[in-house]
Amino acid sequence: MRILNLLSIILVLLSLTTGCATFREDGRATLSKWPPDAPVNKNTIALQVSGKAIANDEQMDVNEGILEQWRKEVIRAYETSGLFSAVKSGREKSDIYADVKISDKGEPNMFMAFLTGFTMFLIPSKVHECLIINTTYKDQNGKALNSVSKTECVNSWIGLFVFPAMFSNSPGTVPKDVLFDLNRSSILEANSKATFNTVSRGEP
Amino acid sequence: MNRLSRYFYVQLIVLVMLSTSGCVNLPPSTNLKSAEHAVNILPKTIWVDEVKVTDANVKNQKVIEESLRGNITTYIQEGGYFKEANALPGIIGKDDLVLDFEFDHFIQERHLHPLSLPLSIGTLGLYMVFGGPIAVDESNLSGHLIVKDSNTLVLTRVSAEIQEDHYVSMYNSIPTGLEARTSLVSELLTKCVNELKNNNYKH
Repeated sequence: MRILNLLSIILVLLSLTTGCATFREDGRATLSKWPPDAPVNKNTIALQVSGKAIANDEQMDVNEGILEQWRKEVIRAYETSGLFSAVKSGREKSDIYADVKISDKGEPNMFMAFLTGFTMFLIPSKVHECLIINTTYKDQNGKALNSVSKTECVNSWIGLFVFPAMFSNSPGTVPKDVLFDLNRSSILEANSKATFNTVSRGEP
Repeated sequence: MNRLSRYFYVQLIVLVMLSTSGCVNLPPSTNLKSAEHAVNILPKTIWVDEVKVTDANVKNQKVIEESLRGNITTYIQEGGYFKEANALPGIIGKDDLVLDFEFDHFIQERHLHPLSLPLSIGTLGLYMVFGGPIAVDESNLSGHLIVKDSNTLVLTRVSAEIQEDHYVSMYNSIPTGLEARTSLVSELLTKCVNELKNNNYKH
């Protein structure tokens, strides 16, 4: 009876260490200086954010909640850059228009996920996921100014003993950080190519 | 009544409540399938202007409209329905066309499958484990496409409706309206191209 009690306590304690954590892969976007040096005359920018998710080469729905989270991170990057006098949305009149396309490509393994659950998380499983941002900048005449593409991949682990890592590597916050950094990196690259200075302000 | 049977009855009450509660609205999405190449092509340059979602059930209209506009523009470019397609802003040429989209029904609903309750109880859950349908996702979508010339004169307005439903099991419970949304946009574009061609808006 005492052994059974001890076993159940061990099982409960082990189950408490179960968790899911997301880790960024090496080769993340480099951010030379943030925020970059602000120009004297700042332009306004309007953002159009669209997104899609692909799991094992099959498209999946991206619901409005996720779209809103993604959009917030894009807007945060442009607002904190200090390069623009105003960050607007969609079709609002602006000096520069940025079409931001987000793709979330993942490779979940259903068999491993089942095995993890079936073995009470003794066998861990991993999901590999890449976030790809394609940004096209246009001026108010529709002339393409520049196009920037950035990618970063993350790995999410689920299993025993992962719980402590959740505090620093929560699956809820790491992808948001990645998205923010990818957008900051896109802005820095476009800025280094003078994309935001080439707009003739006030022209029709 | 022992603990096990009490647990069984609680489960039963929950399932009965679910089955009588009708349906739930699923969160809307905006992505579309990759476009197949259009059969009927109009040799014109078009500009996507406004994409409006007027369905009152869509809570976050701005986010949905913005993303949908980007995805529709990509879909038109991939499908090659027109000589050239872009989203405004841009300089609209004299012979160019401007497209406005409006979606008045854009929500999917999930209903409990009528067999799921009796069969789940009758087979002690094996029905669900073996992938039996537990719910039905239903899409009733409708939209309009308004085509204007470079002087904002309305040339034509086409409408389309799509009804699609599919079973949901324990293994494919993530909602998807991808098929229905893509069919709706595709039908609007095909109708629009046919209409414009029939009315000789080629030149």
